[in-house]
Amino acid sequence: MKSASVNSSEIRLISPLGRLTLSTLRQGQNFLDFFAETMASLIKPPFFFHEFIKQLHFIANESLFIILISVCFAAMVTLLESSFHMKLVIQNDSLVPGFAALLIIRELGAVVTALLLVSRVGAGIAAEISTMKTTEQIDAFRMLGLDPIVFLVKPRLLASVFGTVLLVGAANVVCIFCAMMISDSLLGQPPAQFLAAMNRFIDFQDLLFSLVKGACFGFVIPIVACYFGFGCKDSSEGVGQATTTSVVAASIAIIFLDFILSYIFTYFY
Amino acid sequence: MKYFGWVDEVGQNFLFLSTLMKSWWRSNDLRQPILEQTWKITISSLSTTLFAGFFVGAILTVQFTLQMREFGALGYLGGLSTSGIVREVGPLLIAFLLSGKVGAYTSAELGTMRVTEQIDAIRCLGADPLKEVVLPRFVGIVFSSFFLLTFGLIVSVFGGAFMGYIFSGVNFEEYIRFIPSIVTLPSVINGLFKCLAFSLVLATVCTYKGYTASGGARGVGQAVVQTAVQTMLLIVFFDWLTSFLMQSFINQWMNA
Amino acid sequence: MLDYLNVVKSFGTRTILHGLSFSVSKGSICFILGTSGTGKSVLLKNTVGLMKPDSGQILLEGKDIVPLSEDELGEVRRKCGMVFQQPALLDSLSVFDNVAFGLRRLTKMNETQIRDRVIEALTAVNMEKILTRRPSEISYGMQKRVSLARTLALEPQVLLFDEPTTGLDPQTTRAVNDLIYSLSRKYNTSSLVVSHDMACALAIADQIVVLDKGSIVDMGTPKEIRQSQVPLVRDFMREVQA
Repeated sequence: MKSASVNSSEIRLISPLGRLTLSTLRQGQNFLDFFAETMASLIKPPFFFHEFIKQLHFIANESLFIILISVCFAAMVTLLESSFHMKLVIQNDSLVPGFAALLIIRELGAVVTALLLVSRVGAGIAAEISTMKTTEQIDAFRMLGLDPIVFLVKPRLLASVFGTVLLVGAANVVCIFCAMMISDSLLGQPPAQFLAAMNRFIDFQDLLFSLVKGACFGFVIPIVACYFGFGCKDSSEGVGQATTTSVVAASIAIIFLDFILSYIFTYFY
Repeated sequence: MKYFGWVDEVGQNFLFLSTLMKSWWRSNDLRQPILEQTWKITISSLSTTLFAGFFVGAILTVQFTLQMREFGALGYLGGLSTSGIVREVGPLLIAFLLSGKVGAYTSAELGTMRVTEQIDAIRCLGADPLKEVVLPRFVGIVFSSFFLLTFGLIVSVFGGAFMGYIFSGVNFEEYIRFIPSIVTLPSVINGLFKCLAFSLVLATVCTYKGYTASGGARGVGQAVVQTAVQTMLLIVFFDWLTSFLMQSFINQWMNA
Repeated sequence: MLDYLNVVKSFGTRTILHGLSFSVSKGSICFILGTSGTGKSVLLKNTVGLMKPDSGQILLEGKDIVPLSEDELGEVRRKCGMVFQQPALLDSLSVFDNVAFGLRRLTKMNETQIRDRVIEALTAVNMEKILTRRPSEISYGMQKRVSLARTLALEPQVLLFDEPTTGLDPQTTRAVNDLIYSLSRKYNTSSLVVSHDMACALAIADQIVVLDKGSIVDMGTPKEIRQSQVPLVRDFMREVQA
């Protein structure tokens, strides 16, 4: 309010910038609050085992089919493209299985799974929570003396971390299997050769890192989705907006996190 | 039956697309609303694309560096990771992000218009909602996401170069030296063709799902979730299809 | 003016309308009463072709509208103005543009004429002072009145109201009812009002149709309805007297 006395052209330039900074900071602060509350809820006593199983079923079991199909296709593309590049650079595609498997396990298996989960699970959770918010169910929880974070966020978070690790594991297996089939039929390299090449390139720690990535992504998805779900405006537009924002934010967070994790893991090779 | 409902869904998508195209045929001048939508979508997603493109390039460079070092072929790093980005990973990951941003937003918007009876109101006021509301968005999404995907690919080259400098110690000139010889015209065409296919998928699914939403706030949420999932599935599928078609096509072309 | 002959509509296996037949004469006000979920809104949507009945005829000025295509229905919708349950204003347009939306597309008026008509329609609902606001910036009651003005601007011959007073305060409710009454007397407009407000119906209707589970259980003038022995109607009546 004090700035009203300052030259108006300066205000026009500076005040939107300041408002943007403030709103970003406030958003960040809100998110950290939410994050801290969720972390605290993890050790608070009531643990809804039934709810956990239900969420695990929704997150892992119901996504399994979609995820396996898409990573299958992703694996096939990777193999096709690797062979293209290999032929281009070293005129020889005997190393293709190794490279493809490495790329699948280090990157695609976890990232493609996580991005698909964002759109299915993340969007689903955001839509569910924000619908509960607009229909005042969240307030009803509070009135009944139930902490919505313990009751809603905690089981989803635990189920998502656990479920994503399992899904990433399954996706890796299916990816490799798929790549093996394609290399047999398209590149004429039998499975034995594929496995031998893979063995030379991939260590056990690659698989471990892939699962760690899965756990991190699985952690990000419900946190972001619940945060935007709880902050939803009270209208049917609000539900759509909350869902959209959470999908975008979670996808960006995953790509960024993937970069950070890949970078960190390079120090272990 | 549970796993084959998608056959029906795909068919419905195509029927919707044909109705949409018919209404395009009949309408006279939509240049203004289409341009408006294209501009709006492009501006709102530009920063997301910028961010995604940059990091996709960076991630791929990190991964390629590890492999190239073993062969002592770091000189090829720029060419190979650019080729990998343009031909596959770039369009795929950026399209994933856009499906969240553009696709989910549009289906939420159309779904909200549907459940608050705005679509019915437009029909009652004597206008065709397909023409007035859906078509400009559809064409706008195709144009703008094609542009955004291409833009993302260009940005990712810089992301890769930046990471190549920081992480692998390959300077900019060295990074781009082999790009022209490895990223050939067929590769670029392949990448652009993928971008086009993905933008069509994106536009069709989100307008269809949003336009046919029903059942209040919950229905809007469901439409958005289904849009995101279906778009991603179709994108992965088309990724494979275009790679497969382009490679058999190029093989024949090179052999001939 | 508007005749329904044996209209049947079902969704999947659930039948919503079990063969309704009644008619609305020119210049009269017909109320359709019933508890929620008895297919009242579905009936209205069938009348303007937003949905198609499975069988039966809906005659507007003696012409069956059921077999008409989407293009031909334009003429029907030109004659029928529909006020939706929700305000259904287009979020992206201002109040003025919302009211002008139909005028720009359905009539050959120039901008000055459109402006005059929009102001006239908005004045009728006492909303002439908020032309440039967006729908999201005004209250629900105001949105509903703007929505009514949007329909009135086209000067329809038949007005269809889908629960016009639900969610409004008593004063606005009375204002809307007065508006429906005066319009139908002034322009000789026929009105079909879907509602569950028996008091309003008794006050201004010429004819009342009571629906239950998709069938007509009673029908008549307010006087006849007051005397009715049908249990559901007696239920409604008890609420009015209480």
